[in-house]
Amino acid sequence: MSDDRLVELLGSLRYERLPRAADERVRRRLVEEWDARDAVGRGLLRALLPVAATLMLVLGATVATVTAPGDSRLYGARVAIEDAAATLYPDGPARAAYLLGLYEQRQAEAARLEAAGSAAAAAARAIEQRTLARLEALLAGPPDPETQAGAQPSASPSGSPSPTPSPTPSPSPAPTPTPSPAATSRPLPSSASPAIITTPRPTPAPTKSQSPLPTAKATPTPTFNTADPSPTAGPVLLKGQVKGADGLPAVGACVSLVIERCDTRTGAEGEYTRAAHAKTGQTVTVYAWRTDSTGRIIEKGLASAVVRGTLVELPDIELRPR
Amino acid sequence: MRQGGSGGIAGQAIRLTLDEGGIGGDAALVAAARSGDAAAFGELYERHRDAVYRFCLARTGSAHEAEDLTSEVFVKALRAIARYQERGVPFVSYLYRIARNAAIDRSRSRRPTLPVEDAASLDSGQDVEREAIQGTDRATLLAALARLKPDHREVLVLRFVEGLSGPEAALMLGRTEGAVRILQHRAMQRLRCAFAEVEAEAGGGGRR
Repeated sequence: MSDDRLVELLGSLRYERLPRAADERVRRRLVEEWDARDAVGRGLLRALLPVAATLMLVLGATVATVTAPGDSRLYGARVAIEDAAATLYPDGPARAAYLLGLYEQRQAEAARLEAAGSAAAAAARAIEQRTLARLEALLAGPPDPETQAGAQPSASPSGSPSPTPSPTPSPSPAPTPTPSPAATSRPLPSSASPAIITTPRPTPAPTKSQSPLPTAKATPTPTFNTADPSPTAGPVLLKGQVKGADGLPAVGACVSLVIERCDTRTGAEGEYTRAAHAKTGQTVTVYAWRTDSTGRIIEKGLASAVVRGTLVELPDIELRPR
Repeated sequence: MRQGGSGGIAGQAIRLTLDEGGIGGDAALVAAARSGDAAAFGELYERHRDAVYRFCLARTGSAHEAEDLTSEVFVKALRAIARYQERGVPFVSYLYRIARNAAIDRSRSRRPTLPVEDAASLDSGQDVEREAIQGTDRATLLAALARLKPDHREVLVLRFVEGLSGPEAALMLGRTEGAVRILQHRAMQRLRCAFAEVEAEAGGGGRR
């Protein structure tokens, strides 16, 4: 058989066609397959539609809840969710950082509602205070080894604000009532632990803390800053008291880290507690002022302190006429 | 639907099918079929039905088996059309691949070779011209083709049955033109041997 004959024979195959009967069988089968495929698709869609709708509903409700403003009915649910989420942070510093963020956010929400004259402001403020108390309890819970050791900067090069409990007895000042005037001269909230109250700290001299504005800054010692090799910002609680020019507690005075933005007000004894982010060795300055009925600042003052632990007690702020 | 006809018309129809079945023409239909357009899949079937049938016929040597295989190829293509990915080769080569795999699956479950006597009784259509060709030679050819290696059989089908050019066959087979030329040369040698073998067997069978 020659190649030409083979090619001719092969070419004859090109006239082959799928027989009509077979073609019709194939078509019927394809139609059935297509319909079955569509039915599966429709069935799947029908099955998935309620699931998708439910998911959308849950997602929408979740988003609405977690973004609910303070005057929304969902705010309580949002607060509960956010509070519960704190348990997701097992270690103290991470939880404190989370609570601090929460506190600042709730504080801002309460301030916003107050500014708007909303009836929900009081409730928002109560929530804010509850958050603060929780944060305070967390930060004050375990004794700070650094403050226990007498807050000697050179003795604690790490400067870590970690609230790890340390049962090591302190060789320096015993946890007896401190002679420090800053720690004893003002009332402290009941939530503050004895360790904090009695912790001896290198507080600035009383004369400096009560001096007029230009001299009230307690400048950090350079040795303290250099003693901390890797300071990282962490949550700290600032506590202090504000007094008027007459030496009496200044009730309802504004306290802030930024002047002219009132985010905390002093209590009945002129005391204040405020959360902030700060590094160990950093100097924090707290401003306080009072305004008249028009909102003009009539008295102001400030106090500074070096951060040595998670609780920073500032010298008393004396308000002086502007 | 094209069924048979004169050689010239059929030849034109084949060229038309191949041209329309090019990458561009099929791509739009495949895309439509993937998105659920049944008519688009129907058009793909119309375009490639006969080519797939011939491919299956050359593979199996039996009209009945080729019909079943053709049906299986299109059903599998329909089920897989949503997953089909354009890779720069004609859609029909995808169908050939399905056909090749389906034929292999079938050959595992049963004897694929067809006795020459069965092939000789093949009656696949109404083509008068085809019927004029010597039935014995055609049956022997189909039996011989069924004995070839798949790539030898495919290159012969593409070049001499489907009438593809060297570059077109190279594209379909995923080889270079030079490789296709060599493959075609070897395939013709093998076909010649196989044809002689089948003829000898048929002659021996006839003498018994």
